[in-house]
Amino acid sequence: MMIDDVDLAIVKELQKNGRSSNREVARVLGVSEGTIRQRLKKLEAAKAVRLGLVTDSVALGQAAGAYVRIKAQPRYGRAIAGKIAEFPSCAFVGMTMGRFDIIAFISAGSREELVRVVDAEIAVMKGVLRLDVREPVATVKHRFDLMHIP
Amino acid sequence: MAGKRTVAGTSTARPDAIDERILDELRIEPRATSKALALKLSMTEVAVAARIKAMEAKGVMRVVAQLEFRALGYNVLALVDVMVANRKIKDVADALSKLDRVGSLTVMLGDPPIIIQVQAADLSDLHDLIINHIATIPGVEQVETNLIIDIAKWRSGSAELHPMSLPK
Repeated sequence: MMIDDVDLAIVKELQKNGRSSNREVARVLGVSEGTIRQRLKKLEAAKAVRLGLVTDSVALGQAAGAYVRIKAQPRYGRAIAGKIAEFPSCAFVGMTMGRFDIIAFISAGSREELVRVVDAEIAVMKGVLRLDVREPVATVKHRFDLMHIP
Repeated sequence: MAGKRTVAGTSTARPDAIDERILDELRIEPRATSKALALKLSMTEVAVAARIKAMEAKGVMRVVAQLEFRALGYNVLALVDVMVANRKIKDVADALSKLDRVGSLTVMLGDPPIIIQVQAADLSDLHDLIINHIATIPGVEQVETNLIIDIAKWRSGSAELHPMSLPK
C-alpha cells in the first residue's frame, strides 16, 4: 500500500522518537489519539510501517562485517540464500542479478569469526562457485528508517 | 569510559546486564511504556526511563518507525559498485550520500572503493538515477549494478548510530 500525507506525518514524528506515545504524537499533529492509533494499526497490518529497536552495532560488539558476494550455480542459488539467511551473523541476504547471484552482509564480533563464517560455512556450500568478500572501512550513510518488511 | 556512572545509575559506553534486559524487552515491544517495563523487570519506572534516556543519549539505541520501501513507491532495489578516479573517495562519497535514492553508502577496503544501496520506482527510474545523477558526479569513473531480486533476509535492528567519519 502507498501511504498518504497524514500517515507520513505520523511516521516522521515516530522517526524522531519511536517511543513517543500516541497521545504525544496526536498533540503535535493536532489530531485525535484515536486517529493515530487506527492509522498505525492499519499501516503495521499492511506491513508498510513497523516500529523497531535499532541498536548501535559497535556498542553491541559487532566489530567486523563484510559484503559476501557469491557466484553460484543457478539451481542452487535459492537454497544458498536461504541457508545464509538462517545465520545469526547474517544481516542481509538477497538473490541478485548482475555480476553476482547472491549478495549477503555478514556482521560478526571479530574478524576471526567473520573469516570462520565465510570459510567454514559459506564457501563450502553446495553450488557456490566463487566468493568475493568486501570489507567496509566506514559507513557514510545508512537509512535504517527504510527497510524491507517481510 | 566503561564503568563511569551517572546520577541515575546508568553506565556509559557498552550496555550492562540491566541495559541488555531492557533492550531485549524493547526488541519484542519497542513502544512498551516505562511502567510496563518496570513491572516486568522488577525495577522502578524512573530507573527504566533514565536508562533508556541514557542509552539514547549515548547513541546505543533508538526506537524508530521504519518504512517499507514499497510504501514510498520504491519497487526496485540494487547494490551498486562505484569506481572512483582522480578525486578523493571521501568527496565522491559525500556527493553520493546527498542523493535521496541512495539508502546506504559504505566505503570499502580496496576495489570497489564505494558500495551503495539504491532504491528506485522502477527500472527506468533506476537507470535515470545511475546515468543522470550518479555517473555525472565528478570522480565517478565506472558503476556496476547488481539488482536485488529476492530478499531472503533484511535485519533492521542494527546500524551504526554514529557513522564513522572518513579519514580526511
